[in-house]
Amino acid sequence: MLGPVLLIVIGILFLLNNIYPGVFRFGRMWPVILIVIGLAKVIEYIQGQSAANKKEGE
Amino acid sequence: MNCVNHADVPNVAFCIRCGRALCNACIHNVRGSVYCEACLGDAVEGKTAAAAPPPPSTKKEVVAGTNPGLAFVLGLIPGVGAIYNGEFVKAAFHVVIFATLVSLADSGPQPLLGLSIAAFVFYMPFEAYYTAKKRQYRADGIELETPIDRLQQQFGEVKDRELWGGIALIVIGGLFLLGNLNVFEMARIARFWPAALVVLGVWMLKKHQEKAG
Repeated sequence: MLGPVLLIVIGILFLLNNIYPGVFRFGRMWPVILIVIGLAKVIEYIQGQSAANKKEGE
Repeated sequence: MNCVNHADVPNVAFCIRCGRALCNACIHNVRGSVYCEACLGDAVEGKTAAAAPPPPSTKKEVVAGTNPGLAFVLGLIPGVGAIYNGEFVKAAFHVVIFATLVSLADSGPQPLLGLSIAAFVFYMPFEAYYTAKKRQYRADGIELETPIDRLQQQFGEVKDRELWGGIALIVIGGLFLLGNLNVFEMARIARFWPAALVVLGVWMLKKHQEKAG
């Protein structure tokens, strides 16, 4: 799940960098990558948690 | 590789008897070894005791990244040791951590930061060395506990690590982003980074107390 999402995010960042060079520079926006990785981790954790709860409930 | 029972879940281990890939929900841990449901059932019924044939998967996993010495040397280059071990996500993290430390060090002379860069540069080859060694032993069906594992245990359970690692990444990413967008001056905030060490220490103490109590 993380790999494809990361590719999309990096792709979008470079696209914005090329299309609107004044506003979005990659050198500025790169921390978005860190945030996305972090979000993916947290979502993965929450999903794992709810899956475990379901299993216990059965 | 994905779990044999859950095709969409990546495996976390292999059954040491039949070699099937298993996800977190399917592993059965018995005295430090991982078994699948079927093999555990066989073992309970005593099928292994009588026959004990060589496990069907005598085929060794032939993969790159099982030479600990080479892993150590490559580990001196940020990320490359992990790539050698086939851990690409970890490699990316090593590069990002290294780059973050170096760019933080750029904001001014900070001795502790320089030391942590040195520590990280020395940590990576050892990490790569032990991972390679672990993989080597795992191919023979032996699960090795390395000093790196013990270090990671200090930081809590695997699940917890995922959550707190994620939150830490969001916070760090947010700080850098706000700094880059000139919401505040990054150099000023960067001075406070040793507070992170204090927080980490307090958290580890708390973990330690929980374990003891």
